[in-house]
Amino acid sequence: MFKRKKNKCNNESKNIEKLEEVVSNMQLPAGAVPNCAHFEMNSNREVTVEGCKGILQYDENIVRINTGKMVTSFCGRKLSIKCLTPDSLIIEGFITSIEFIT
Amino acid sequence: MLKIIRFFWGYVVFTATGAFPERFMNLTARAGINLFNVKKHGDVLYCSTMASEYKALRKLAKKSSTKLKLKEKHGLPFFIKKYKKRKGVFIGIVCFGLTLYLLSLYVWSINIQGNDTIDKSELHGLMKDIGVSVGTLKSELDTPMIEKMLMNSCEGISWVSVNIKGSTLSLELKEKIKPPDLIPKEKPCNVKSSKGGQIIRMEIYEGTPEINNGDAVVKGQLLVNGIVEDDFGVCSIRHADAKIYALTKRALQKELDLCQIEKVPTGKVVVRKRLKFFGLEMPLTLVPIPGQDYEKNMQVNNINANGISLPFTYYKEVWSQFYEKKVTLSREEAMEKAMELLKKEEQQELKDIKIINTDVNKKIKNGKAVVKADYVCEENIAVKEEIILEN
Repeated sequence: MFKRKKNKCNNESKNIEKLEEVVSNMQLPAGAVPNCAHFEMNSNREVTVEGCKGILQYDENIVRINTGKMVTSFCGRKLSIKCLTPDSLIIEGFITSIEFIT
Repeated sequence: MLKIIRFFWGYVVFTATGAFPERFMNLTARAGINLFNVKKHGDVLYCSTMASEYKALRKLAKKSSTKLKLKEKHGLPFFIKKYKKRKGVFIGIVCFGLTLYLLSLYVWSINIQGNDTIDKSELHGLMKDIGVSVGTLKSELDTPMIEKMLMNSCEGISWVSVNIKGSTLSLELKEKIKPPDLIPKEKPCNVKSSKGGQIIRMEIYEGTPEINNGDAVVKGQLLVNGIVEDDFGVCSIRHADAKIYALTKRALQKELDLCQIEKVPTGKVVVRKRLKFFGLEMPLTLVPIPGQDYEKNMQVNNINANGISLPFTYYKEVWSQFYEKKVTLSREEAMEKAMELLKKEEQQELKDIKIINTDVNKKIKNGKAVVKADYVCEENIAVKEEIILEN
């Protein structure tokens, strides 16, 4: 049963990789790939993240979120989550740096 | 907008404490529960969520081993719940809404614009005769009909527009400009003199001149004939037109008694105040109208709010008592005053006439200062007079 699940996961990741290849070959925007996180920033005061899979760490100085393939960290001062919905969140505060860990 | 929706649906502020607040947040997000204004102070997580979704959070809190504590309740549902027993508040709100609605059905102010010569009080009177006044039901008003009736009842109006905006009835009008009495161009006429004098200049556009430069004419004398004879001796009747300038004499006189009666205030003042609201007048002072030796000075204040006139008018009548005092003017003072009066009359009477020479005579006669001015003027004395033909 576990083997079957593992096989299914492998197949899905392979499919996504293929899709990414097709997208890059056809010169389509990167956002066309499913499960791709989308960031929208208003200066360094607010960031909207779509495609958020979960919050890993939440503090006044750091918000670390799971965005599927990578972990994104927003560092700054007085950070707060303005709104949290099943697949997106808005972070408010003074963002000083963004870090991506793949 | 979002805040308004949240207010109407109601929302709660709560704290979540525990080892894994992030897990709690992830669980709520997965459960489809929206959190907002999430802030972390130390180990305590401050969150807000819709009031209806708070109950569902308890299970998730147990799963993530966090403790929830309700801090604040905001919004309309909580407000209603709080004042559920105090029915007077709701009755008051309903009464307020009803009053507001009922009052909005009536006209509470009339705004008149565009009148220069026609008095506002006259227009208000006309409107009242038609049946439009402060306190009239808006649904009863037929604005096109009001416009027509106003046009018919007042001759001085050339165009009028009536608009109702909120509880204000605005009346915009244009006054008529009376055309001068002219004889039509097709009708034959002569040019006659309106005043006696000596001709100095003539500008003849049509017709046969009957006078020459330097001639003396009397009032009503034919100056330009409308009957024109051509080289072949054929006569035709025309519309004579000309400007005939002549030197004319005019005189103005002013008399002023040396003994003048002046009104001197005694210092006694009676104040009467009234308040008019929703068309009803209410006295604010219980003072009767004083006697005949008092003069009235009226102050009308329309109460405005942000430029919108409210249906409240405050009237203040100041009655001042005067007594008559005989004052004898000196010769110089009387002459000076008489000259001032003469100058005023001159500006009114001779405003369109060119004055060539002025001769002023001043004298005291029978206790009066008499100032007489003789003017030599240059003016157009041509007046058209229609030639009436019998068919």
